[in-house]
Amino acid sequence: MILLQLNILILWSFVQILAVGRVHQEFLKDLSSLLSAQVLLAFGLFLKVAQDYVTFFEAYHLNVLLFPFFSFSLSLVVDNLSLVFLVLTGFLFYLLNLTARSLGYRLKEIFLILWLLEFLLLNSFSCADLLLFYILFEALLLPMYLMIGIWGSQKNKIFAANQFFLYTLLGSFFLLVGILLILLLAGSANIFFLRCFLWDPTLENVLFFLFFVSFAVKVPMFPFHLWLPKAHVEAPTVGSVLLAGVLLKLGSFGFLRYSLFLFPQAALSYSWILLSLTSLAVAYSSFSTLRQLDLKRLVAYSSIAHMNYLMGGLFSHNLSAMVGSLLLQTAHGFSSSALFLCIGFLYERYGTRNLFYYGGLATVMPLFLIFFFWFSLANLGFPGTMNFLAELTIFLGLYETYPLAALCMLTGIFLSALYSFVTLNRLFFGPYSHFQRKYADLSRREFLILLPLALWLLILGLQATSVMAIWVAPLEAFFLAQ
Amino acid sequence: MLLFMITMPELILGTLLIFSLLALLLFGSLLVWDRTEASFFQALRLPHPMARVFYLLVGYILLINLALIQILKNHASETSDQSTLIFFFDYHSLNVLSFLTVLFLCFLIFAYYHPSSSHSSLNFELPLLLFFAYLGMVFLILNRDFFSWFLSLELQSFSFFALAGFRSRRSFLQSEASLRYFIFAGLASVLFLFGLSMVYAYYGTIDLYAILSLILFEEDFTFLGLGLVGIFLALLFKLGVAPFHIWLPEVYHGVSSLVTFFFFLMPKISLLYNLFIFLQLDIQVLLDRISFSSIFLSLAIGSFMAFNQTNFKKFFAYSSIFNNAFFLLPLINAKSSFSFFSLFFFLFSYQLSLFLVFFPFLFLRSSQDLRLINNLRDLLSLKKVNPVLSFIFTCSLFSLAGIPPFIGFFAKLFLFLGALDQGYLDLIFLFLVFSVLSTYYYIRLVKIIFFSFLLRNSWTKPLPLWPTLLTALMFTVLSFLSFLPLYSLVFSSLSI
Repeated sequence: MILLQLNILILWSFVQILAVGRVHQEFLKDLSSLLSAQVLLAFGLFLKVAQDYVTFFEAYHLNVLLFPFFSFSLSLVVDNLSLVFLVLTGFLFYLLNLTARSLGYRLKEIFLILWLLEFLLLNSFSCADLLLFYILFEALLLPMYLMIGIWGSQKNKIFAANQFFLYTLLGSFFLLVGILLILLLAGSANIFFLRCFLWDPTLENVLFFLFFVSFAVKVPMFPFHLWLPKAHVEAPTVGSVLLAGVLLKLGSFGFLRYSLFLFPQAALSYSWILLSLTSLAVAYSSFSTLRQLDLKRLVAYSSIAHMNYLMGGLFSHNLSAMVGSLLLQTAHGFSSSALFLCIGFLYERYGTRNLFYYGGLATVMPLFLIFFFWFSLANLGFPGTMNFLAELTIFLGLYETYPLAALCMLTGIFLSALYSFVTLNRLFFGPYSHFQRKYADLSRREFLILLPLALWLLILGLQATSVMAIWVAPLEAFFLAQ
Repeated sequence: MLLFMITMPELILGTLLIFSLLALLLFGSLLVWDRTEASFFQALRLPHPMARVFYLLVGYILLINLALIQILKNHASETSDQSTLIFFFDYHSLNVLSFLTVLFLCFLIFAYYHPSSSHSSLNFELPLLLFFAYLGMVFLILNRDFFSWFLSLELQSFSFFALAGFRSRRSFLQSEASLRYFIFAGLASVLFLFGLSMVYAYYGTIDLYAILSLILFEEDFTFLGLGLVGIFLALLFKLGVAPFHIWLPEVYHGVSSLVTFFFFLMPKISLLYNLFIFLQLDIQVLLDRISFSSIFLSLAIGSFMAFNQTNFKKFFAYSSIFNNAFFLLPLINAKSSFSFFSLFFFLFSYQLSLFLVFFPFLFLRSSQDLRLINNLRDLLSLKKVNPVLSFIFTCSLFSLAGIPPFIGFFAKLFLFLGALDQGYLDLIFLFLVFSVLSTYYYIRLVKIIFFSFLLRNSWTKPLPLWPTLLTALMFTVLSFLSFLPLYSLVFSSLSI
């Protein structure tokens, strides 16, 4: 019942923001933060309800004979797998509403876009119908395009926004073809119906490939990752956090929920090429981070590396690796978003993201240093953070089934340590750079934005078994068919 | 009276329309006479009407027409048994006819408030010419035999020639465009007539529905094929499908804005229905290659040529060439059950998006010289001046591009489903790749509106009320009603 109420809550918040007049800027900021806290509370209730059940499954089916030729099932499903994504969405949107207060212009529009995106993301993570998923998947592109284009900082934003939009569109057209084939051959696009459907092996391979292209663009996997650095750099802080924290997870969630769920045989037979691609992406992007001067581009490439760790975990046919990949999705959602937030705060103060202009910030912004250091440790997978537990689990599982891939990916771990410490050194230590005329440590708002992220990384880094335990039962269902 | 209507229905429809047209012509000539000679209206103590009242009169006639069509629908039959000599009423044609009438009514609302209609009463001819074209289209939809087909096609084309040249004393471009249109479309009509005469020479009958049953026994298409292909090519020419599209951008560019809007909206309905009926003949083997190459060329030309356009009329002309490929897709195999529904649903969504997209170009005026905007660049600061309009415009552009959750996506979904049902997987891939290309130039418009910092243009007069209301209603249909079961109710009547 809570899922429908969450939808109504988000839509009602959207309407409330829409109704506020343009002159009431301060009220708008406070209203949006309050409403997002309300939504977060509702998500927390969700978690509380789920905690009581070993396998939590809540489904809303609305089978509508909408069109004359096939039935369109508006099915929303929340189970243990998608629960963490929903909570991540709610949590990150709460932080985003706090962050968006610092944008200088068009506040009402950014809040409207944020609420619209929250609605779309909530429903995409809980879809059980492929056509509905496709509609929401594509509908996300328009608000993101507007966000990057209107609030982006540099002139290159138009090119980046265009590339992001068209790249993702081209990829998801493959998904459309796959969904159309499924609709024609099976009659319905509901995944629980399709799970029991026996595919012809060639057809299953073709469909897996079509689904793969579109989700691989979103994740992003090796040949399709070109849009990510540009989009992350040109987007405002809010957009970057959203992209890194949630939208990339949409790709990997798509793999988990749709590709691996519906086409397990094809995933098994293609796993060698998928793992090669992920290993290549890890090595390539980790090496690329070392050459970057733009802070955001650095974190963007490290995002690619982390997402490819967890994709390797997903394709490895090992329960612990898959559990670890889910944990890494959450952890990456927290740590990557936190890093982008930190960089956003720096950008607001100094107006540049170029690493050359910074130096010696530790002397004047110690609190910021603590947070940035902690998030860098999380990014590289230092023990004590949630990323470490996740990566450990992934590598332990991956080594069981595909040891060579595990060895290739370990290079990324080493390189991430390298670039994290190089960045830290350049930003904070060393002589104080004379480009930094003024300085200001974290304000209370910024502190309160970063604090929950840091705490969650710590708490779940020490005790994540209770979280990982909820995923074991649904993931075992993936192995039943093989 | 009702019996009379049932037995000879076309008589009532035809006479109503033609006599009302003649009456309006008479009234118009009275109007003009009143300006030049001694005052007729003053003698009768009547106020002198403006030319705009003709729009109202045409609108009233259309409403009566619509009511008549609804009455006729109750008595129409599904099969071709109960039909009269000249016209053929069946369920589909009456539905398409009511769609045409409603669309024309919406167009008239736009035209009434358009600045070009507020001039002197000597310009009463425009609504009448539009009505002539509407007549041509009505008879094109309702025709049964070759005579009425050719005559109605000519009536429509000639009305279009006259519309294209309407008030062309102002600009050389416009008179040149109308003359070119006349020459090109005249050649197409000649080809059409040639095809018709070939088919008649082969079969000896001019009844299309008789030929439909005769052609099933045909093996040798060498002589007949010439005629059929001629008809098909001529109809494709009128539609503006590549490679017969060359007249389209320059004619649409040269003509005045309101008439361009009319050209975009109306002829497609009648021509596509005509093509649909024509393709019920089982001649797929002849026309396959033409259809595929036309589709490919339309996609390519419509995508590539629109990148560099600055004039909005040419831009949308190329976009309509691109969308013509989508219209041809269900017509490749017009006998399947998907094709009628997907074709007309796509037509409906396309017209809807066109209304929304043309609305700023028809009614926004630049503040510097009070002219209507002409270039795409003139949309530059729309987000500052009228953010709601820019939002609506963006949404309709995305509906044209086929992005969910708008209605354009669902329309293309049905088209692709129908095509996949026939097995054209590679064609679908082609469509999708070119769709991405064409999405780029729609996004470019969004970029022009939203992503700029300078306030370059400003607009003075407020937008007129009724077109704005109509636009808002259409936008609601375009966006938020995409998920409602309403569509299944509305369009279940369109399925076979």
